[in-house]
Amino acid sequence: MIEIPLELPAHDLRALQSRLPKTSGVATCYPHFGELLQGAFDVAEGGHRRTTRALVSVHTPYADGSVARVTLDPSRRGKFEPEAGHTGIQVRPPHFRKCEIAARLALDAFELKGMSARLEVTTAVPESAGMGSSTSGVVASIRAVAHAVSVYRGVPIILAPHLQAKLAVAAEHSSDSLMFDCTASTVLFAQRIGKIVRMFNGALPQMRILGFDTGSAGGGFDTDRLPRARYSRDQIAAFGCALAVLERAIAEQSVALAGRVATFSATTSETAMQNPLKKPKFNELLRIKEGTGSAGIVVAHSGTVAGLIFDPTLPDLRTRVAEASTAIARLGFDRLCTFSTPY
Amino acid sequence: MPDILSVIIAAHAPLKIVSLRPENLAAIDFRMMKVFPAFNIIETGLRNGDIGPNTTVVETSSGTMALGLAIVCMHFGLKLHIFGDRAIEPPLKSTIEELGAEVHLVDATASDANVQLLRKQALLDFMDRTGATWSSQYDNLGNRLSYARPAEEAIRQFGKIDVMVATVGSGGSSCGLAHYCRAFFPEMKLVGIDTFGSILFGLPVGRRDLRGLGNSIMPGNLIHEAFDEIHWLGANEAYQAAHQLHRETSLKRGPTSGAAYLVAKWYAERFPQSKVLAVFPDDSNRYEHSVYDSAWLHEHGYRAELAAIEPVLVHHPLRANGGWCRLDWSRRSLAGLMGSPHSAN
Repeated sequence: MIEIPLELPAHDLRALQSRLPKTSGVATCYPHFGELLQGAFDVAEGGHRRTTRALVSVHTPYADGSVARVTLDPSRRGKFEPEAGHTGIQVRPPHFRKCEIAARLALDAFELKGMSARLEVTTAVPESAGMGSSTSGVVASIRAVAHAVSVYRGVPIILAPHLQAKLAVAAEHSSDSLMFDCTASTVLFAQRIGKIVRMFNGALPQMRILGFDTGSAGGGFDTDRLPRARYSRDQIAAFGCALAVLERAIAEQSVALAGRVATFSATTSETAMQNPLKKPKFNELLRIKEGTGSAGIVVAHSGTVAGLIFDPTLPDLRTRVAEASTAIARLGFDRLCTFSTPY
Repeated sequence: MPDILSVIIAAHAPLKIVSLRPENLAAIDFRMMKVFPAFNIIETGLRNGDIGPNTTVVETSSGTMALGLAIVCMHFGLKLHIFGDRAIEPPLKSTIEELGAEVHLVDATASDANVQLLRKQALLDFMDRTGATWSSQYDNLGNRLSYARPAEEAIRQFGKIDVMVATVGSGGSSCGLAHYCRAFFPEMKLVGIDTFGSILFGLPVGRRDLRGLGNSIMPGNLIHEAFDEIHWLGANEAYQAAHQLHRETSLKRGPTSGAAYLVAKWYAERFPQSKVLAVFPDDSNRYEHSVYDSAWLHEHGYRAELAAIEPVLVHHPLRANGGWCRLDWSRRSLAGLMGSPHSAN
């Protein structure tokens, strides 16, 4: 997804540069669909253990996400700050402030502190659904800046996922893990500090997910203002066990085990000691899961979407998914879709 | 948490999952299981202020919890007094004392029916006099919660667990391990092992020759509704099983581990499609001069040919009266199983 000139043959690079102004970059970022696992984890850090919030996103690499276009303006220099309205970035639409700040931080990271730019972001990701509308726009903006700077300087820029994570968290305080390649490995990502807490060898097993929106019946909410869930010692201890199940799920490429992790995490989100985020009709959803042979239920831990996980190798997959769709539509949930993840 | 202590705990109890035969059988080979509850109880107490730097900790134990606490309290610099009985034999007593703890033995033979009550009374008298803090392994929730790490390691190394077989004393390890495994595998069967003379699962209190499992008082950490099946083993059965474990696997462990091996192997052979995990709580150090001494066995009348080699199915705890018995507990409450509201202690 990262459009860096280095990956293109030389003649394509020249063609690209001749089409675009010598100061422009374009990039995209796909969204995600809730989290397979999100909670608080006891991790060793510098001789001590501390509790860190972290998540494993369910990536949707085939879904439309955000597109960002950046045009540098070397003629307009100034003293800029990573603060909305003072960034030197003209952003459209103007309320995409996190993208604006992310673009500023990215320019600063590439040592173009005085450079101004225009940024235009279009996104197909609904807000408040828990699909990473914010992170998708922010990451696309960071990638587009890198692209523009590369074109402007005429040298390749390698935009490491870790740098994207650092910039994204600085811009929006809490990010999903969309900047990491979900097909090579699985990451447990500390969404508030922008670091990988644990890296698992390999991708999640390929899953077929029947997704829907539990918020379509009621109103949405502002994910930025959502109070953070607080977990009991017992729940934090169980999150540690979830990592072991996840490790086995990846090693065995077992959809069944991945589903257990997802259901555990969804259930814990419902029953958090403080500020649980309850999904409407959660128990009915669990019953549909059982009745249709779904491996688990995945939810957005700060959003409204949820989905049933199916093993794509099930012989009667189509029938089961169709049955589940009908049952879910009957609950009053809409925006039904099916997709494959992580590839 | 000071990480040096977690390294020490890992040195005492490395959390290895050992594959055994048949191939669907494995064991979590703790070697010194009680360091987990000991650490969790003390660390939680220090964190929430129940235990301060000058607190004297007291506990009643027949041995392994005493040693676990002695290790943890030594590292935290806390004073520890243990109230035990003659099950704490001189070598173990001096091991505990060398770690800085004091050991008080009540004057009763280890197998006396009321030994746990006598120990508890001595402990309560001491608390009255000194204001010491009881770590209370039988009722402290920190006991059960301490088994999250071992459960995590069992899942990491063994994967999905279909049947878990554990001896029951405080209820901490059996109910704790099952609690965390069932967060992911709610259908997992929990098989508990108790002994005759123990009141845990509805038997009348009586003399207990087999120690390290069972109880003469009802611990708060025991959740009867967690168990799918209960087995009762006599001392001879457990001792012979420890030898069998040693001969068949080369692992020389205590009789509680032997008991878990015997029952878990029986399950693994009956259900070859199920992955069975046995819980081995301790090693053989304490038993070299008893269970692993053929003269001692002979002198006490423990003979292989007298040990039951398969369980007798019973339909009520009061029918379990020696050898090896099993009962389909089906996650019932104790009162529900006994057939009427029933107070066991």
